[in-house]
Amino acid sequence: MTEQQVKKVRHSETRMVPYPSKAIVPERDLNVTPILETHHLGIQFGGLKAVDDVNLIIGRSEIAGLIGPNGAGKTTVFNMLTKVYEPTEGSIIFNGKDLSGRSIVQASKMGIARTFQNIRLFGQMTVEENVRIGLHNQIRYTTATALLRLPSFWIKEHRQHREALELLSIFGMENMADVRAGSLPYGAQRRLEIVRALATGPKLLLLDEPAAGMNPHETEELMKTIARIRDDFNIAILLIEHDMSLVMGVCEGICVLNFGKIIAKGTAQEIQNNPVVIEAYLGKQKEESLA
Amino acid sequence: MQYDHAVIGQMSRSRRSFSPKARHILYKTATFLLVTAAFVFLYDWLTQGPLSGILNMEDISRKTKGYFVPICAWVVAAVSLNLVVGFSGELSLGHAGFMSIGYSTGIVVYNLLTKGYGWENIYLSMAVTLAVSGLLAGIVGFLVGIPVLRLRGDYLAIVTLACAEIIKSLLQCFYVALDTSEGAKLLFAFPKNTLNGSGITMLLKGPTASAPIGTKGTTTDLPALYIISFALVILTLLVVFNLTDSRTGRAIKSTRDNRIAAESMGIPVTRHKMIAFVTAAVLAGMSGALLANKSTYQPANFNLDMSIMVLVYVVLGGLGNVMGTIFSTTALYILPEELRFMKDYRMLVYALVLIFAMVLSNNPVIKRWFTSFTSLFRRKHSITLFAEESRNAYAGSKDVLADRTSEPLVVEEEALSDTKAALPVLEDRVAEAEPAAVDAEAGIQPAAADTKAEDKDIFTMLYTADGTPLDEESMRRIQVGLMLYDAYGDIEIGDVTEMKQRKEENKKKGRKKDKKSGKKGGGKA
Ligand SMILES: Nc1ncnc2c1ncn2[C@@H]1O[C@H](COP(=O)(O)OP(=O)(O)OP(=O)(O)O)[C@@H](O)[C@H]1O
Ligand SMILES: [Mg+2]
Repeated sequence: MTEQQVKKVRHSETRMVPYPSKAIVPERDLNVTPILETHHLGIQFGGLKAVDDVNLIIGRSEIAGLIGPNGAGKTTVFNMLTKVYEPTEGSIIFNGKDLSGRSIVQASKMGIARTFQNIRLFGQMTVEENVRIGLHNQIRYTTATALLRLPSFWIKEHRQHREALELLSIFGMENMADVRAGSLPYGAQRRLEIVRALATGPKLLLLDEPAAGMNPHETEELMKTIARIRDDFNIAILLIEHDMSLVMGVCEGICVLNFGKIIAKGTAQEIQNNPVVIEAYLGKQKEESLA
Repeated sequence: MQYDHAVIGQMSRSRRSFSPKARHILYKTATFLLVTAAFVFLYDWLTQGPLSGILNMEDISRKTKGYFVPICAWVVAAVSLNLVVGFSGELSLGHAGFMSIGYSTGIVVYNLLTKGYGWENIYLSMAVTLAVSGLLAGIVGFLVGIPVLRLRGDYLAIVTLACAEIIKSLLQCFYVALDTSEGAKLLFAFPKNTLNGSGITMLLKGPTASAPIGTKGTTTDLPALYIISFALVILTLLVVFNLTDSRTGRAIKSTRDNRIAAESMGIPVTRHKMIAFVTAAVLAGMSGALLANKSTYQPANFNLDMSIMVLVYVVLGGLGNVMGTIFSTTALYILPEELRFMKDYRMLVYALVLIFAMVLSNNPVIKRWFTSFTSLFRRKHSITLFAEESRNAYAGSKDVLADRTSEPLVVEEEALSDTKAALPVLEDRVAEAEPAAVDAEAGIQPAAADTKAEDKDIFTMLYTADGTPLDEESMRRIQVGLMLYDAYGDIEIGDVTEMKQRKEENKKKGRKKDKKSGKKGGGKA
């Protein structure tokens, strides 16, 4: 086998949607290296193995979903991908580079951005300032420039302002730019977190329960926006979500986690009909979530 | 529920519309104007200039004249500490350490320049003195910051305290003399004074007071010192405002608000804490040098007491509030000086006043008064923006309350007060929820059972009276309610039962009125 073929075989094993799949994975992703690969990723907290042997591959412009019952280890996977936790096993290859030993900041600079399940906005600051913090490494000037208020300070500040408003317009939030972030309604806070993450210029966007606390109408809007973000920014998105209508509606590949282990991978159709998955979502949750 | 909108319209009409940005510019301009006006007025008075002639003000006492320079020095120290405590959110108990570096450096440099090199111009010598003092304090700040900023919270506070004590102890064993017998030469001795001989002037004499700076020959050039002090205050304001209102400043504030989120946005936390810490050290060094204009200070004064005192100025002035810090520093500096006639009771009274001031400034009534004052500058836009949702919010919080008290609240009017009434309940819950959230922040591993609390937003901790968790719709409404509470900071948080009573009374009154004047507004549409 040639090296290319080896790669292909390996990828088709760990891919959520094994390819050549029924054209759900965008064509353009097939022959480029994936944005994210994890190999036997795992982490142990004391005696508890929260995540174990997770192999994932996400294409450069794929929308992937990570689902599973409460406590399955989904957020923990995100925390490892963003280097909040250092994995105790396995490796993460992002954009062709190994992430081991890198810091949260480095991971962000390499192009991983995320939102948080428990909203972590800078509540005392305005909506626009929150986005500007996302732009920190995108539109830069030195502290000395700021202290002396040199011309480039004003130019860059203006560019930050324009860019922030443009990003906010994704969710039609530009008229809230001057509102204190902490005083926004819940749904708007979630949307702002997405905008802030996008501002860092990511190649991979991780969304942790983006629809939590949103009403069905808002969720539907969000779904459309997520698809639009992928198209406009041409980035990969991995999202955790309990709202199955969103996951099934927007994700091209889905991975199901239970007790830290992957129990199924595939398209929405495949996942919905997978008996193992239905088993994992027992009882009430099954009816609720997968109905 | 048409009346909700009417309420909002009414509320917002009484407020002027300034965007937060405009308000902030206003606040900065006001700070500069206030400081400048105060300076012009005082300078004129102190030097018996034309203005005091017009106003027919008598010459002020020597003692009062002596206030101006130290107040400026303390303002610089307090504002710079506010940069660390207020903006970067780290408690530093070692600010006096950096001030003492500036104090000692200032004495050596000033005397070297004036006595050693014969510089005549006090402005130039003072400028160089302040620059060098600041620089040296900044370098020490950087060195101290390397170990200190790796720590968090209480640990950081304790280590800054320890570092300041080390600096103080070292400076107390430091002897410097100026030898002018052949050119200007500085002689150093440590830890015992071995300097003697004719033709040398002792500059630093270990633990005892040293030669003052800012003098012309043997007399202090007060007017010049006033101008220099004022310039230093303006410089400090410029540095602090320019720094905090910039990319770097936002990054500093973000590390304070949420460390993990800041890091995830690609902001190097330690570097930005360091920028704030070192900038504050530089400014503290300069203020220390300014304090050295009087021989009343000696190295032993730059101790924990002094650090705490500066911290008191900052806390009373308000974390992150520069103008407030200026006011509190001025007031708290003058107070003990003016209380000297009380002799032994002086510090007792000072402490009592301090307690009183702290309690007052934390009093909800006073706070509300302040909010209603500042809300003059609040923005109409942000309120009407959510008018639609706020209507739901009223309804939402009403439901919650109804659930909680297990009897429906009488709510037909004053929809705002429903949200208001929901608040005590919420605040209880938030207070309960917070320890879990704090633990998670500090990286403590929560017990397995508690992990859920860490991960969920604190508001998901709300339960109705029968123990079932609130549905997401209600939660969202409460969020909006809280937002409203934010917008109308002057809503009073009342007792639920009291609120009910008042509402019932209102209703009775309303009915009587209605009978007289026909139905007009009020009830549900
Ligand atoms: N820092 C930690 N220390 C100890 N155990 C942890 C830690 N972080 C996570 N865990 C454990 O790992 C498991 C997975 O948690 P995780 O938050 O990843 O679940 P999740 O799939 O995101 O669940 P949910 O859907 O409720 O958000 C849980 O059992 C949790 O107790
Ligand atoms: Mg989770």
